[in-house]
Amino acid sequence: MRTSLLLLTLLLLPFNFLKAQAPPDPGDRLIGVWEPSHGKARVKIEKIGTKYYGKIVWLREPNDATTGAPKVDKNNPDEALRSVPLRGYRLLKDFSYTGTDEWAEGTIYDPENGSTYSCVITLKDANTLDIRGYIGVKALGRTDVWKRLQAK
Amino acid sequence: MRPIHTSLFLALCLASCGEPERLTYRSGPVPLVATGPLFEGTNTAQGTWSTGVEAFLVEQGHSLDQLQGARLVGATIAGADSSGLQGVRSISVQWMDGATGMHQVAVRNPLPADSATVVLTLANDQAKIAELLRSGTLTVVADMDLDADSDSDRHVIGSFTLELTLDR
Repeated sequence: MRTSLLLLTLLLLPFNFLKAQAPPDPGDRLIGVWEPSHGKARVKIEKIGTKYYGKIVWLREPNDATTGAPKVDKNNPDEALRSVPLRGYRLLKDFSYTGTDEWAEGTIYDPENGSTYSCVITLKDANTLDIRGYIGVKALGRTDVWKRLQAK
Repeated sequence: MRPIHTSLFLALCLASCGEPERLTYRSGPVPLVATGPLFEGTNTAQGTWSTGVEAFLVEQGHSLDQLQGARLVGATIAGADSSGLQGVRSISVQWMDGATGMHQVAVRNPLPADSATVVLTLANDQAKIAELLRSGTLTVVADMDLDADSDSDRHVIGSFTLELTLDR
């Protein structure tokens, strides 16, 4: 029995070594909590499957000024989804890492007007993102700078 | 008289032959887990759902190629243990696969206090549902707003009812 266990351990050792040495996915540098330039929200970017998604995890003003209730996605073009809470809302969807510090093929949603735009994310440095939203042509868009929320 | 009957019969036949067939499909329980530690606020539960739609269609004498459209007509989320959905303030459900991307399909906000099971409000826009079902395996993502921190995992169960439209 002891010999079998020893043999099994020896057999598995190289695999554990390989696993430990596996390089990190460069696309995962996008994962973290980020703050758009307006500072009104914080967005947590996570990986689900092979793609990247960002959801609102913090709002400077979490409650609606009129109702006092937590804000919801009241501008959603789909009326049935206007009760979705803004805190937790997935603004960034379906981004794939394309290499050279760029994530593309995704969309960004603007809850202020209920519009969804094509979007490209570029990592400028470890703590800065350029988020470019556009309709149709990438050149005709708007870029916002997001900063990584540093762990305190 | 006879020609009128014949025309009527032909018209009815053509009308019935042209109409697509509709079938109701109910998923089994789809287990979703949010891995702890969990924090007050939004947390993500997810699970893989092998839809079984293709096998169901074959069983009914059809094939997946005949799937013309699909609508989600019912969705519920239930707690997987005795605590039910205690402490869950809202739930928003998305379906996704690698090719089609993520689509929001249902929401419930707020949840009634101390619910064990909740019926979700369904999205009106369901244009991608059939495409998602054709892939066979989906990731179901449930964003849950929790009212307190917790060290342990949270298990919930999704159930979905679909109306499938098939070419004859």
